[in-house]
Amino acid sequence: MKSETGFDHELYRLFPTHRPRPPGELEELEKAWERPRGWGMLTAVNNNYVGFAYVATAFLFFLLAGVLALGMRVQLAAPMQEFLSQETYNQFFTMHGTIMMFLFAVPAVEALGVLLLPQMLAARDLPFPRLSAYAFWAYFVGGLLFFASLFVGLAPDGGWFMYPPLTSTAFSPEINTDFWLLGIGFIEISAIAGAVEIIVGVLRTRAPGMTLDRMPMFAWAMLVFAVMIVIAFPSVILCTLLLEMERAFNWPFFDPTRGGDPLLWQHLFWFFGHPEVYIIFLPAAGMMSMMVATVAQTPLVGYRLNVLALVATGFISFGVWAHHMFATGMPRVATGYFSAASMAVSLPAGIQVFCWIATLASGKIRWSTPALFVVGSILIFTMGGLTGVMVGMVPFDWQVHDSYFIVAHLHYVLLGGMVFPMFGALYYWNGMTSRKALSERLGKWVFWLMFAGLHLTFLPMHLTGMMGMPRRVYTYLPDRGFDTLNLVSTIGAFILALGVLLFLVDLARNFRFTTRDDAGNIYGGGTLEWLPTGLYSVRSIPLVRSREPLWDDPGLADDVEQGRYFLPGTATGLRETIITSPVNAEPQYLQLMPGPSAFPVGAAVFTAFFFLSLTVQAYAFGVFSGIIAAACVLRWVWETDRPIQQTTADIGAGITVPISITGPSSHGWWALNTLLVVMGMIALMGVFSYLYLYGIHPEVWIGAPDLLQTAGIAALLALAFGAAWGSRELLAGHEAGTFPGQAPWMLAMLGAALLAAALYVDVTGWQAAGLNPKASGQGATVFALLALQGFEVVTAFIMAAYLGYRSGRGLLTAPTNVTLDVVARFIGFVALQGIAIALLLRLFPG
Amino acid sequence: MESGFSNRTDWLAATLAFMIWAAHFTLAWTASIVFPDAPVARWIAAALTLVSFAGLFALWRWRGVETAFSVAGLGILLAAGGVAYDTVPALIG
Repeated sequence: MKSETGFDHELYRLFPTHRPRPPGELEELEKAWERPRGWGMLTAVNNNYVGFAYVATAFLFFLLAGVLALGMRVQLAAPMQEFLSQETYNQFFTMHGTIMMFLFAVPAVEALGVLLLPQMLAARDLPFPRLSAYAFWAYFVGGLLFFASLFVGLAPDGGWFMYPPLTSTAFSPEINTDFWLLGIGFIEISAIAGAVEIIVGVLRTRAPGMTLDRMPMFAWAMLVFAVMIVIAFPSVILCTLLLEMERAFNWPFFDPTRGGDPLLWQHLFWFFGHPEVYIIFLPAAGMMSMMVATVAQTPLVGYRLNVLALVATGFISFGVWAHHMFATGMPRVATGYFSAASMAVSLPAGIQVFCWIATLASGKIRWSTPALFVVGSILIFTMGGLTGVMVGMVPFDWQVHDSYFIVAHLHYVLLGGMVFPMFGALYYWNGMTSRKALSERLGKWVFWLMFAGLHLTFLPMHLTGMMGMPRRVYTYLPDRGFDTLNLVSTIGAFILALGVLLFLVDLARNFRFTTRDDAGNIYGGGTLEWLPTGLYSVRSIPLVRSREPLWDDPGLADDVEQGRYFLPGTATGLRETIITSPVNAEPQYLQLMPGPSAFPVGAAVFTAFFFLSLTVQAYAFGVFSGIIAAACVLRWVWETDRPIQQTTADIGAGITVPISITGPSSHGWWALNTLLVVMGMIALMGVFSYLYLYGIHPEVWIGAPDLLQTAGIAALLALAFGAAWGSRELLAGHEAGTFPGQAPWMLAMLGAALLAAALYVDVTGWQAAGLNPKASGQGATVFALLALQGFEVVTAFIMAAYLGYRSGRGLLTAPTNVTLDVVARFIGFVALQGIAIALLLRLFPG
Repeated sequence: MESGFSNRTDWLAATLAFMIWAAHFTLAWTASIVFPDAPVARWIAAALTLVSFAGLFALWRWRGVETAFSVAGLGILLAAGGVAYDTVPALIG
């Protein structure tokens, strides 16, 4: 194999090592990764604890949303029922959909990623453990507060996709809608934080030798999932911000009387909303691929084909968003494109299904509980997929649009594509976190009750939908042919719920959380998460030579446990993991990892308070919460760029690597770039909104300020970019170990000041040209993009001031420094984005 | 399945192929809403299809793909199929 980084692959022959390990090495490793005690547990950042709490919270939200579903089914069990009022029913279906999509499905798979990936990749932990903790706590606190809105009658009631004009102030003047718009803000932040963690974790912390081609399918699926979050979530961030700005400041993004368009919301929402289905499905497909191989006790058939299908699904799923809009009267050819893509996306999904079937057929199935969930899931998902192809056909979609047929379709897809694999996964992987295995006998009951309940609930809905029953109605008239079918659906829902209840009984009887004496590899899996682990993950990080290392090398577990592979102890006395190259996973350097901290918790709690204060219009407390949240974030990252005396470390067998580096090889570089993609996507979707509204209402557009001013703005931003770049060069010019003085950070601060000056000229220029954000869609979108730029300029100032403070404390180390690198590249990005936006808004349409 | 499959993996080529598909889709759709139901949107789609095929062919040559039964080969073929499929509405829609 060709080396990717210059690492000599001959060195791999040194493993497993044979010398006895020095005494006390394991104890030192355990001490470094020790968890806090008592209340200090709240500050723990180990993936075992954070991941477990994350999974448990996601499951709690699944139960809560399920209870809401039962309430709705009771209401619909017979015609003209009065179990729920119309208003409460609206809140129930909105909260059910929102919680299932935002508070259960996405967090649940991210949670499983946090829990499983480090062990699966044999990393000590994911690269930013405090970010994982932040993502969890923001989700936990914010999610519970959001759910509590139901108890005070202020829960959102406009459906989980919140279409304007129903959700505009004209038709929804109360704050219920604001609860949704701001309430999911923290969930978006949490999801993106998790995605950054997963992308960098999968690409940079794999065990040596675990090339992309040997990566577990779940890791591949999580990688595609996280990239999709980074591309899709900015769209929903933007549309929720736009609708909130319309409601709060009367900026008419979606008001057609002033040059806005309600369909803009639908485009932005579904650009997120449909990929969201695959965001949920793909990780579950990754779990399925892993469980299928174990269930059949044979390697997955068509591994590469399966990966290709995951990547293809990731791409094509971004070309199907407008199939939710077939009934809106889009141009005919445009409609055809989305219809074609909607059918095309079933091909890669089909490839995966056939790979699973072929694997099951080529092996010998052991009919365990996970096996039942795997096979059941294939059947249910295929049924949902087939009705998906049906509604991908435009004339058929017109017939069943917004009917119960759609409710049936989406539940078959989501339950078969995510919930059933998830339950299978809970049985399959529970041996990693529990002292006792869950009951096989109860598990089979759980499966059959859920399987039967699902079909009883949702199969009749195809008929009620075809017969014309619209979705989201709180009741219906008798003798329309809906009565019996709805009663059957309600009975089915309770049978499904009984299955879930039995699962809770199984958990209560058998699940006992542990981080060391776990039940282990109950079903005989072949991947690395089944190695013996502690809070430090594996004792030594193995060299990976195949896709199922435990099947191919039965002695591997013992060698790993005896410390015969990489990093058998702690090389610096601190928490650390090996950073490897993205393709071939060659060891590159040792990353020092932060330990427990209360600041991620503080930042998360105040992030949630920030959004909820804005919702209830407690602006002063909102500003206070925002400041505290930002201060907590800065305090938590303070320790993550600490210079230590030791510059290299022995990671086993005499192989020496550097400790913490900067530049394109560093994991921090990858994380920042991922974040910049998120920010760039928000701006890109803003630009799309601008162009879209121009296409719909060109008559409200006014002329841009003069060209000279535009050139001045571009020049200021180019200077800002130069100042940021110069700060890095200035630092690089100093000898290692010397203090570079205050000039580098001051140059970065100059860059931030130039950004602010350019923004000032831009805003005042548009105002002088007569553009008013309340007057037209053009004004609203231009000022929204400038507000986005303003937010980033403020962030740049805070970052430059933070850099200055670190410099004042003598923490700016030459010739490279992670903090300076991050700040300079952020300012450079904001400058380039500012140039692009200013030129587009001022030169188009001219 | 695996036995006839080239062991040379090239995930970059496969990803770039799907990016070509994405660019084709985005631009063809943009043309269809900028020029709703006008013949020019169909001509643009047809031209984009030819450009996309050329791009995929160039990608095949650049990455030195040896067989269709490889990660890169299948990725490029799937993307080409997607491009062709997406062009159908422009021709008959």
